[in-house]
Amino acid sequence: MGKAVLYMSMSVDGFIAGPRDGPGNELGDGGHRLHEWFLIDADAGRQLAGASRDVMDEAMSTGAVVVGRRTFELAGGWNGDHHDGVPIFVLSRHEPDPAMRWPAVTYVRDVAAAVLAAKDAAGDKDVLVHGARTAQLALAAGVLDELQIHLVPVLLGQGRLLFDDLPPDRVELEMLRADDGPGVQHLRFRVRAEG
Amino acid sequence: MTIIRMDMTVSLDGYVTGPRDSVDDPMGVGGFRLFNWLDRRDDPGPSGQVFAEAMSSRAVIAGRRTYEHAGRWQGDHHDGVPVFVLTHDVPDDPPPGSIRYVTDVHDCARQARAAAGDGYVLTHGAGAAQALLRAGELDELELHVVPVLLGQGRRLFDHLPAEQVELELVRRLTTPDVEELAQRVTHLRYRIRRP
Repeated sequence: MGKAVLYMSMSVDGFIAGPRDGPGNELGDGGHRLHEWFLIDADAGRQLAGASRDVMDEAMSTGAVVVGRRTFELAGGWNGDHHDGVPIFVLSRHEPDPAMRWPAVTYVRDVAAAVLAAKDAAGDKDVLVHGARTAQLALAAGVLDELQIHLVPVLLGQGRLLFDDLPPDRVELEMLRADDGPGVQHLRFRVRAEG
Repeated sequence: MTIIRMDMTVSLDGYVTGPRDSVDDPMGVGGFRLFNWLDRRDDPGPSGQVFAEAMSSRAVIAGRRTYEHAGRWQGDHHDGVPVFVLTHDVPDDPPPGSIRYVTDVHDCARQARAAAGDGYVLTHGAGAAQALLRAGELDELELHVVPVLLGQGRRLFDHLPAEQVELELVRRLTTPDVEELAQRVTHLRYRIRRP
């Protein structure tokens, strides 16, 4: 069975979006800066290079996606296809908007159930986990296996934190990899089991 | 010009102490986990190297809380170098040893730079670092990132305005994989880029 891996771009001060994020301002004020490491090349028609290409290739070869409803809706549901039509499990406590339904999309109430279903669907492949709130819930539920942080050399000052509202229980990690891409550090951690 | 470099140990989720830090419990609940890497401060390797560099600084700026929680370093942070404590409220009793109290952040930076001469100024404490950052007086960040999530505590980057501050990675040193898990750490040095 594959692993559940969180993929998130984060500023050095811990933000994954700037302030006042919401519809029409999906990444918050200045938050697009966090995605420049992969968007600049795409916008210029260039391929990603080096460690950034490798980590993006890994993300795009996952076999299922678990995402929070907020992130999913801000992304327009990726029109039902995040990559290669893999199953998408959206964490939501409420009934989905009919406009946000697609064949590959399943709404799940519980994070542990969502990760389990995604792992089943992904087979031997890893599961891509996305969204700050989903990451927090998955960590608290003990169902997140690894974290792939794209650490962007910038301070945003304010915004939405990746790690926020966690219980004061220490979570030990082990760094598996640190790779420098152009304008970004890709840090990979394994969540160590309790004890 | 003499540079001012912040030197702080942080958890991956951005905390410099656990919750409820105080004079009696200076690192807060569970916060001493962050300092395990210092067990290797006198050994060869990345942690020994960065510690030796910190101890070669020729002046120190500290926030008042850090200063008090550290027992005022008994008047000597290292080698008797001048220590400038940034405080709103100068204590009545005379400062011990090489300590001086300063109330204005620019004045503090100016005095510390002058005192350090051709060396550099080390800055300790989240409050002092934030004040220097806001005042545009901080030149570099040395972050010792510990692979742990504390969940709660005192955040290093807090109370900052929503202003983007661009950084440039100067150096990344990571402990080798043979190091014991508890003592692993990644030392990231950033230069603060001025517009």
